[in-house]
Amino acid sequence: MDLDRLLQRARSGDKSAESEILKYLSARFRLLAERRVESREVAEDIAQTACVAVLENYRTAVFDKGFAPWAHGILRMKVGNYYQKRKTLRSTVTSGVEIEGGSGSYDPDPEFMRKLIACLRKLFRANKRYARTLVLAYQGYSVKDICKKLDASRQTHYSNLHRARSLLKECLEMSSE
Amino acid sequence: MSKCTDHKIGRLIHAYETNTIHPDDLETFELHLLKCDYCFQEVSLMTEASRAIRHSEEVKREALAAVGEPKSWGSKLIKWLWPDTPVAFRPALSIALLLLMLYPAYLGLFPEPQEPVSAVERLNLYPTRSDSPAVSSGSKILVSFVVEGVRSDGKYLVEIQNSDNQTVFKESEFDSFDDYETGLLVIGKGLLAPGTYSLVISDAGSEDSEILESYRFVLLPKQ
Repeated sequence: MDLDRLLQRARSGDKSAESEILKYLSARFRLLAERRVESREVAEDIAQTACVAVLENYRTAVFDKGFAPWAHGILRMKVGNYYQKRKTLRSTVTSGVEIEGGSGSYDPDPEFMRKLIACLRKLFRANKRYARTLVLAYQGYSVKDICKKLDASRQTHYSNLHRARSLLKECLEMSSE
Repeated sequence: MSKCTDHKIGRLIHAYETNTIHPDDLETFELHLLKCDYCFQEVSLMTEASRAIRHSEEVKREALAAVGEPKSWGSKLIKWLWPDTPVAFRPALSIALLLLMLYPAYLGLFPEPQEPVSAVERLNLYPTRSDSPAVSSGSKILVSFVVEGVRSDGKYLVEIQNSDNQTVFKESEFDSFDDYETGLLVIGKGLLAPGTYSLVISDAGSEDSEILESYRFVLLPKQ
């Protein structure tokens, strides 16, 4: 889908193009937000708020680097606002108040987890570097430190992970069949 | 499904999913996700797996087990005490130095128990015409006796007999004579009851155990 062409149509008053942009951005914003806030409900809220902000401003806004970076900037701002709000809440509320989405609760499907663990075991056996990368990330090392410890450049690190992902995806697909 | 619009950026996909992407590349990839349908679909398909890889404790345990990370407390303690840092910065060394410095203070606070000092009576027996010397029976007795003609490297039979000629102390291979023919014998506290005793020194090497010298002494009751 050509986002810039859609934008042109929407700016010229095409309502269907506008709703397509909304649909397009909504799914992507949700995905990006989910990774940043860890709670699906909060991510949904942030994605919706960001979409509304995009729709309110896209006709008049000036895009220095293009529409996508501008829209991405709005999403980042909304995520930042969420954390700022949460920080303020945390500092003002003394106790007994559960902040929505703050717990980052994770409740995976047991069947899926079983398959994933089995695939990861295979992958860890086949590729120790992949396991070590994950372990170092779990231990809180930065990407720079991980690359240094594994004696790999950043590009090699990305290539290794990309290959590992292909194997993992293949294994998950096979186990689903 | 279409192909990735930029393979170079598309390679960051799993690093993004597993949160092992460099901060400099994060924005680039997220912008790419906004434009590239292929990568968006890929990330969406693996959302569940990547969430599990990032957050599941079970997955973390599996990864730790796969690389053989130490699990036991003992191994962790050893790793903590002796980490892979310059020797001067290893905690075990600091702890050892600290203990070494604290030991003198510990000895000052809790001194090692010592045997109490007890009085020793000295009994000198010489071959002179005199009364039997007397000492108190309440202390340890250091008996010093002279036997003419003994060798400093010889072995002799030394006995202490009571007034009924019963042997109450015997040392069959006494060899503590010095070059001046003087022997030293220590009799423990309370070994002998008050009374009159004879110290008899014989030649252990001779067939009939020839008596070389005999002294009499008296042990007085404890004061």
